[in-house]
Amino acid sequence: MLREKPHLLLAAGFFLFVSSLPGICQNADSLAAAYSRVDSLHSSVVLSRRDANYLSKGKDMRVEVISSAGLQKMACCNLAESFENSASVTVGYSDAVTGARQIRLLGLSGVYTQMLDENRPFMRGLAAPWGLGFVPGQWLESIQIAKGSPSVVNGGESMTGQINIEHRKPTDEIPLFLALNGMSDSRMILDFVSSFPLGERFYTALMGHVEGNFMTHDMNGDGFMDDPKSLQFNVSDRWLYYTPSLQVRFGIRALQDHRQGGQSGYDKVAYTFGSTAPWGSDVTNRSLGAYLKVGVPLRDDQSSSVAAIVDYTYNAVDAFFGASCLLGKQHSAFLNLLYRNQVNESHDFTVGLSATADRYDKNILRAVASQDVMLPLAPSFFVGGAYGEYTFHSGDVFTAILGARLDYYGNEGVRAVPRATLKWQPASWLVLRANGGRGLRYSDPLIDNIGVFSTGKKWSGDYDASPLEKSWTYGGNATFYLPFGQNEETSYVSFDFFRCAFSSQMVPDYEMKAGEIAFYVTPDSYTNNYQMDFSVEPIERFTLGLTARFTDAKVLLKSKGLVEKPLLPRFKGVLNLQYRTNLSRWIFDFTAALNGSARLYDFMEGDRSPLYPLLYAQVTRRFKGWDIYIGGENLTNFTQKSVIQGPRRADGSFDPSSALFDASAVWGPLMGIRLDAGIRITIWK
Amino acid sequence: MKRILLHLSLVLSFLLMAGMTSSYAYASSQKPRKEKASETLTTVTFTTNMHCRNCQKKLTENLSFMKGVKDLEVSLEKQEITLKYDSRKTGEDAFVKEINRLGYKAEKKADSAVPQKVK
Repeated sequence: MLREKPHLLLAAGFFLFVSSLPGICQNADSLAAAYSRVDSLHSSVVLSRRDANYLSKGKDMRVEVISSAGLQKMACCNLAESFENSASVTVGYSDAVTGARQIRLLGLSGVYTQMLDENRPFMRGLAAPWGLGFVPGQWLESIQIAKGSPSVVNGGESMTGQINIEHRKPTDEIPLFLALNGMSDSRMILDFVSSFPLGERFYTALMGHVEGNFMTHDMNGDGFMDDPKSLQFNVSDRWLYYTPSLQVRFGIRALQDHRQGGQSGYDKVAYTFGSTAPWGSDVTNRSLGAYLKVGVPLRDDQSSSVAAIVDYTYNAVDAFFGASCLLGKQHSAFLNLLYRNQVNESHDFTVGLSATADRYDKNILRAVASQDVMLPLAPSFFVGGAYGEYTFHSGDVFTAILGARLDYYGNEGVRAVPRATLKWQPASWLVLRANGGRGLRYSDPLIDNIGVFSTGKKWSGDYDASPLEKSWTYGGNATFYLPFGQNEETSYVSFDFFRCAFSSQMVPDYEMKAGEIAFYVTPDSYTNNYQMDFSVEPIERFTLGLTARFTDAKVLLKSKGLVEKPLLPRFKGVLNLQYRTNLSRWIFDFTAALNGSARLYDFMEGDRSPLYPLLYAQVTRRFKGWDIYIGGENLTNFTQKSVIQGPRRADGSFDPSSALFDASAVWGPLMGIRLDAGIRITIWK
Repeated sequence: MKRILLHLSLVLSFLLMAGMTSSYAYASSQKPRKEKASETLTTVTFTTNMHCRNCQKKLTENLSFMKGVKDLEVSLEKQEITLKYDSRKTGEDAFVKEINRLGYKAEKKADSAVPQKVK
């Protein structure tokens, strides 16, 4: 029997591993609402094809797509966790206390990656430190990760790439989707999505998310909670009004998230500096947002259109760290007016005007051993200008995209951001891409490095300034499609190289002086990123994906010269395996990641972190209209030892009032093994 | 030195696995497929009127769980639904009824009902 069905032998090797739902629909809500529903007719779903993570062959840039199948491969309950099985994006913690997650793309912090919500910039400013936890994974349809220097249409802020998320659509015809998940560390999550039409032209999608972590755990015995206690409420309502001559999308969103971490029993009101009362963090985020996208085709064939996109977000953060605090409010607005014209099959151009405006009201109290200051900061930023992008196609063989922006940056004056992308497909089995361009963004030293609040160290230098960071990014990709496997489009080996070099970057230097974090602009900082991806479906319904990435990241520090960036693994390998039975009734998923060593700060024990594995697994059983799954993450139970740095008191506990106290030096997992189980119910119209 | 050797061996293991899998996949693609033990399977194709990927997803999710269905292909490009089914357990009428219930047309493509094997 096994000889006749070799796949059973393989399946047996993944016993009790969790798997994912089918479905690779990807409706890109692109920049102009007039053509935002790119419901390409060029697709065929064969039930045996479930591409969870794949490189998009049709895209001009190097784009990795995490489909709905990939989003449900593991217990990925929010946007941060959805990147766990991507080798392009690394996920980690900003510190060991607040639960703030951060990503890295091309070896650089996620603040250098432009986050887009259906092509509208989001997760900026005060929303950035905790924002990855505010996007429920079950709300999403797909994620596209574009490495390099992307289109100028959405601004010039992106330096390492763009990550665009696509939500479930109002036209999904799913009156009810429910998902319930429970984890072994007491975290519980409930999601619901309801998409339905209202009449012939209106559609809406109502989404809700409730999440809570009700118990504390200290698996490594350092006296600090591994994961903060938390409670989050998140709702969103997205609308579509559609006629052949007009398309309008609008929506609103509201969020409240409260989390309490650090030592159990921390009271933000009662705590005073120097006391022996429990030290911790208490963070409350509130957010309100609304957007409007209007698209009007100017020709019947939709080859010409105008569109307007407006987005407003209000963020408020009340964050307490021991006796210090950050009380901040932010109003952000984004406007994009664009005109697109496809002259003929070869020539296409887009021109427009866009602007972002941010107004902050921040009050920061820094009450630590060697610093007691109040910082009222109320900066405002306006970046606005004009852009143009020209695309040349020579059939499907060659594409060139040339774009440029001219923006006004306040005191910095007018700056240009040029970008270019080339794609050449000389044969059906070979795709070559090259990409490059400039990136400019205003830094916010304290918010960009939120972990500095979880230390007792003195801040020095330009921590209250917001200089303009400047970079050039360029690189390329070669993808070879292989003549074997069950699916030609997902049988490939791909090689990438990207370099991102800063001529001006704000850095926090932890190694200038003991007990101090110095903020300054460095004129020399770069990352060289090499990546290989291999994907194949060797036998029916069994897919294998293998990725290896090497990062050479250096920064010029006043304290040390040009050195390797700290806490950044030089190497990462990811192996993804999935097996599905016929008609995907059972799906087994396994992901193994191997993380290389990273340079440690000189105040940490040892020079480099160890190599460590992370294993994830999931098994799903699908029925008509519902499915259940069980899974686990970090199955080898690896955690970072000595997360908290600093002296200890006589009783052996850490002394958070010390100037050497540091809870932000995180290079590895904080949580050990976690198991989870859940159910998803889909009721179709 | 030990660490370098460990890193190298891990990288080589990954490459070896990739190479072995590729070789197996390539070798498999060269061999004629062994026919499975015969079953009573019939393939039928319907043309339909999907207009977006959601339609494709909706049809896939619902038709795949129908009794007797062994395989399914839903093509948005071709506007076709191809089902392979056990004719002892279900039939074309049931598929038409279900596709209509979901809100789509179902017109059988001429000569598309092809019985494959008799058990």
